[in-house]
Amino acid sequence: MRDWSQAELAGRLDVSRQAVNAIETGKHDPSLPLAFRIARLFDMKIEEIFDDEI
Amino acid sequence: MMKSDDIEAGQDTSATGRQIAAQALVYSGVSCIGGGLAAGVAIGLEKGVDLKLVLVAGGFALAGIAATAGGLKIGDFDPPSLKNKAGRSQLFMLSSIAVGMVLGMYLIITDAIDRLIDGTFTPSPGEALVGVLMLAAGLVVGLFWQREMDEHEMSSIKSAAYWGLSAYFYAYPAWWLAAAAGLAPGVDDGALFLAVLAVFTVVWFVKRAG
Repeated sequence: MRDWSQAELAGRLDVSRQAVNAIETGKHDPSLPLAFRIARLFDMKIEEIFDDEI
Repeated sequence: MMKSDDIEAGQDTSATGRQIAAQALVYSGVSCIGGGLAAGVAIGLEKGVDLKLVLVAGGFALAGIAATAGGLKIGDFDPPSLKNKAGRSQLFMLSSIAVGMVLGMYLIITDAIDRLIDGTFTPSPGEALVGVLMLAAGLVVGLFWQREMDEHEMSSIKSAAYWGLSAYFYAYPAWWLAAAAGLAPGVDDGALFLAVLAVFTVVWFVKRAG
């Protein structure tokens, strides 16, 4: 995807590093607004980034 | 769920454990710094300063500095800053820690902590006024802090609040029943408050560790 560290991604999304880590590890499901921000940032559709199965 | 492109299986658990340990180290370290310095001042004022006091109190404070530094090193904390939400939230957090440390030092230096523990603490009108104003200010600060929290932090606090309230909801009547039947001493409001606080803190630490 992108060569961003968690800190860089957190900065671009205006959330904490812990939030990025928790989303990446599946411990936190992002809200719809944050999911849209993530999708826009990666220029992808939400369903291309997230799925409902682990 | 988001499919991670850089987290390998098993790494997330150790990262979470490290973050929990980092938080515990920072908070216990700050407590040791404040406690060591305050105890040193309190005993020094009462009995005079000698080498033993300097070594013990100083050692305690140094151990606190080491624990805090270690926690900051292994933890993945967002740097405090006014530029972004996470940074501003950290500034609120650090300010709260500083106020808590000063308050704790005051309680130790004035011996109020002992009287609080044995239930004989009676604040002067001035102390009560300052305390009430600080608590009121805390509520106002909390309103602004809440606006700077990201959704993960808020979610962590909600989980902690749920379990803290549950602990109170079940522990209070259980203790009251046991005390009424003569199976336990009377309900201690202070102990219950600390128990709720402990449950809140543990859940918050674990949840916000990510």
